[in-house]
Amino acid sequence: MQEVKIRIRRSEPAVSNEVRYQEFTVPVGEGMVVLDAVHYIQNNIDPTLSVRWNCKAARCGSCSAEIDGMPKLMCKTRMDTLGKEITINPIKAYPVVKDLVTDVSHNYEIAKKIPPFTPKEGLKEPWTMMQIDVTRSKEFRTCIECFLCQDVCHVIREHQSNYFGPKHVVKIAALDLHPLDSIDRSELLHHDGGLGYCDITKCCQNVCPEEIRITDNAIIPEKERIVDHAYDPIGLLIKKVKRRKW
Amino acid sequence: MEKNMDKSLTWFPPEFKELNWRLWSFAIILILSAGALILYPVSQFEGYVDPFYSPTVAVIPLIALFRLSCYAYRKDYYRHVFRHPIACLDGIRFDDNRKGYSGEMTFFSLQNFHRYFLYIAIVILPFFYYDIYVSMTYISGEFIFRLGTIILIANALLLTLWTFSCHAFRHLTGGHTDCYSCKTAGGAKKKFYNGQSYLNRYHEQFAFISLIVVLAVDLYIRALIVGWPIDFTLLKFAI
Amino acid sequence: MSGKYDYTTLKTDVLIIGAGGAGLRAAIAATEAGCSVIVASKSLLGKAHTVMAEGGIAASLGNVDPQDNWQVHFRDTYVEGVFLGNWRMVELLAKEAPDRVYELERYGALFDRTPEGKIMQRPFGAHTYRRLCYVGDKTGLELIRTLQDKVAHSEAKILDEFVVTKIVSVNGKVAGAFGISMREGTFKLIECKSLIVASGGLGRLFKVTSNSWEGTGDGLALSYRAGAVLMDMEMVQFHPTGMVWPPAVRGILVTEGVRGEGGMLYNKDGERFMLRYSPKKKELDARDVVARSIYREIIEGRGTEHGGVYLDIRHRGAKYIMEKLPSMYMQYKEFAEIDITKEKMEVAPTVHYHMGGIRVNPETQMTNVEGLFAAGEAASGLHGANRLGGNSLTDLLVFGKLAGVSASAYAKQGKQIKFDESVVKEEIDRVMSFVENPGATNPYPLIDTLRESMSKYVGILRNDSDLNKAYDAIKSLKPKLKDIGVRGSLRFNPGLLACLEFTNLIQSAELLVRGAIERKESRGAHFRSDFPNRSHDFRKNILFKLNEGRDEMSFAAVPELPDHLKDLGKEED
Repeated sequence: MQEVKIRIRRSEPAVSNEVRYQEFTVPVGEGMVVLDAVHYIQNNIDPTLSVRWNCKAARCGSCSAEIDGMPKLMCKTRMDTLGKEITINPIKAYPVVKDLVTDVSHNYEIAKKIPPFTPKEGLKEPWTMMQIDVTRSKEFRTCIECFLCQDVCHVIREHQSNYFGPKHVVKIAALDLHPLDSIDRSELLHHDGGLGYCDITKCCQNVCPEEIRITDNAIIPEKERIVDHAYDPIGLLIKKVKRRKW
Repeated sequence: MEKNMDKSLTWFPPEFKELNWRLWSFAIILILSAGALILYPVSQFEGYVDPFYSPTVAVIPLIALFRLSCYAYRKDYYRHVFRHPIACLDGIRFDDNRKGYSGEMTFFSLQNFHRYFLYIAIVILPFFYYDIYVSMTYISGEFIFRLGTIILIANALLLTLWTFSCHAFRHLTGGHTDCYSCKTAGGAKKKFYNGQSYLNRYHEQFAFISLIVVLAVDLYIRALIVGWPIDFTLLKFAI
Repeated sequence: MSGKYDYTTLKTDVLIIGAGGAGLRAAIAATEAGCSVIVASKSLLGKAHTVMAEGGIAASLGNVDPQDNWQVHFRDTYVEGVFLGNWRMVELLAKEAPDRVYELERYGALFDRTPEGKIMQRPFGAHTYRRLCYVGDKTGLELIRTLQDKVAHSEAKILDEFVVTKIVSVNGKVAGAFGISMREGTFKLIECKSLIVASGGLGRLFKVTSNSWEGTGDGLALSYRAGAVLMDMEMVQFHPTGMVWPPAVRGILVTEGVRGEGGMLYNKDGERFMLRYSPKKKELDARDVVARSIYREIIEGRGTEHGGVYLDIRHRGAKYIMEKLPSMYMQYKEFAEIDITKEKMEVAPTVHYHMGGIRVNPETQMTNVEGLFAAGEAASGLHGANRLGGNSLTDLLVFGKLAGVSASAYAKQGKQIKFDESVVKEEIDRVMSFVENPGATNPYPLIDTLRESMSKYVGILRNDSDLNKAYDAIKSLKPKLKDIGVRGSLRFNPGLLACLEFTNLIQSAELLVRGAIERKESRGAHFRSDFPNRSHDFRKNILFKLNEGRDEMSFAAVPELPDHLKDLGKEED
């Protein structure tokens, strides 16, 4: 059996400022993923090594980490795609709780600010919706909330602003594109959400494990919606004229 | 300790493979063509209209603005000129909180007028097709089809693909709609949106290739002027 | 920094343990009723095992097959549960399912649609009609996101990454729960008037399982220790299709949706063997039948080299597969390097669901402990001896809501039960003993031993001698409980969790095996090769109750069907 060296960042900021990289040697079996290796360490070497995980099937988005510097899901990254020496860091955009576990509660705070689904009034029940109208929103509903896009986004990682982050733009796009939803959340995104801070460098789209085209299908369309009501004088004029007709 | 980590990762090159060649070639092309246009203006030769002059050299700034505010180019220069960030990989991002950053909130909020440059581009686009026609009929009473015409066709097609795979166009034609079936001809509208979305996936590629081809046409015409015997006739008959 | 016995106290009307589908639905119901609610969850909010539910949610909307109605749904569920289910729970499920699905849609869930724009429904194992409303193969994810959003915008307080280590009950009445906030690394006591256990099942008792991290039977063991009756513990469902190869991903679920969309099972000789075992329903027979058939093929030497059979969906074409089963495509591509649009999948049964659990009153979901409620997989009685695919999500919504409504009604009348602080100190001592014991045994190898013997001896085909071997293994592991321990603190200490979970696992395992030994018949998921037939004498539930430290076993007859349901649930044998 092959062996691989894994370096893991260990720390517990609530207790001390000490940060160390501990090296473990792990045997690699067929089809093994990084999370298996971390489990091996937990079970056999150090049971105190903290890691957040749930399904181990790339469905829940718990085991986000930076593997050799790249934000990835540990359960979806096969050992045979990596080298003989692997470095695992917790995701950097959020404060570490312990070892590989970070405090992502900020995201749940943002989620509260996003107005929930609000159906149009006077709909006849049961509702009728066409398949062509649900497909666009469905892409965003595959989001597993792994926060890898949030982690890789430089606005969140390296700068301070009110920008919600890609994950929440995806959520907003999912709600906005619901055919029976009555709210336009792009205004919120423009003011409170700080979407203007996004400079579409597409890292979020690169790391998404669900392969959601975050930038192309969620962020840019929301930016364009913002243009509609905040920047485009002709568009606004047309809208006003149209409204008058009704 | 952490700094060492970052260093040990800098040699790791996957993100560097995605070099800024697209951006830098755009910059070089811009400078070269500006120089050429000013020093050695060539507007047309034997029926071939130089794309920089189609319809007039005066539109170049507008087209440049269309390119500059295009989401594909924006990504390139935000990454490689402003380094916000260069790459997604930790350690070679070259972005940090000491660098001021306002994204597209202040000066760059002008990018939001991209759709106006799109309107201009759509108006200009037919001239490239007209140029194809001109290249085939510039001798009165004759139809002529040459290699240069093929290049002009390629140029026009790529510019069309680039223009219509634009994100702003996508928004205006279908992206702003939440409920297609509520609109007249909603099915067709959604189909168009899906097709346009397919093209949109390759917007970055179209943006770059179309630029190269524009330059190629210009160089081709210049080569003909200095007498390179590269053009040949495929078809020729009287009409 | 501070004393050993430091803890903070929170007060609430309704405490819900578990933030999966049932827990969140209960939270919505309880906040709507005007109660203060705390949802305590071992995982991060929105990561619960519900996200893994793939196929869909069963409700007799009749959108695709207009003949469908609640009676047919009742019959399917009751009969396929092999007459062990509680008719009233089944009736509630079948009757309320459509309302709960439409309600979920009103909360913002976006289902796939029929050409007329109604909610699309797909066929599923042993459902007479096409009945499963779905969102591609991510129905559970959509369900939990929708509920999560609803809860996030409500008054309910979410206490995630919180491990409950004890449910406090006094004289048969619930008083609160105690546990560790993993993020803060501190103890917390939550005093409550009523408590809902919605903590899921015990799949991780087995080595090959589709269950995620949480499924360690915590809720069952906690309620049991608080005095609740556990029922049908021996009823463990094996999902017929789990991944087989590579070994690292063994057990990961392959949705029944694959068979629902037309997937066919073949043995290594290329024979479509389900034609032999179940000529009528073929691949879409009940899960116990299909799982047993696959298992037979494998042990009789007609399996693949990795110990599975083939599942083939290629005839549907790449476009269809990518649209209807995107996660399956991803799963095989990423983990096994197999393109399911071009190659066959290798599958074998995997532990999936626990039909047994906490015994509840079907009208209120209350257990025998006053103020203690249970819902979802943690509760029992609905699915009988076999659960139909798609009924679990319905279960979560129907009984999650019911539990929320009754728990808040109870909380409004009841008052906070007082209890002595020594209970808390005792619990702190118990938990701290795991981290303060320097020479302690690592719990992980013990858990592995337990899981291995459970998988080996308490599998699809059971018999007396195997079950006794499992029982012996459990008995030999039990004394080691007092020696286990790890280093470290309370903050995100996986070793400490392993100790706590091992205590819970072994409790559930023991009852499970004892139940299995006692049920000398074959019924649904419980198949005894030494008693291969169903016996009318065993049409009863096996109950366990903790009485002064001893596990007391008893039997209870399954409630007889009332007149209006008699024809639907007729037993033909």
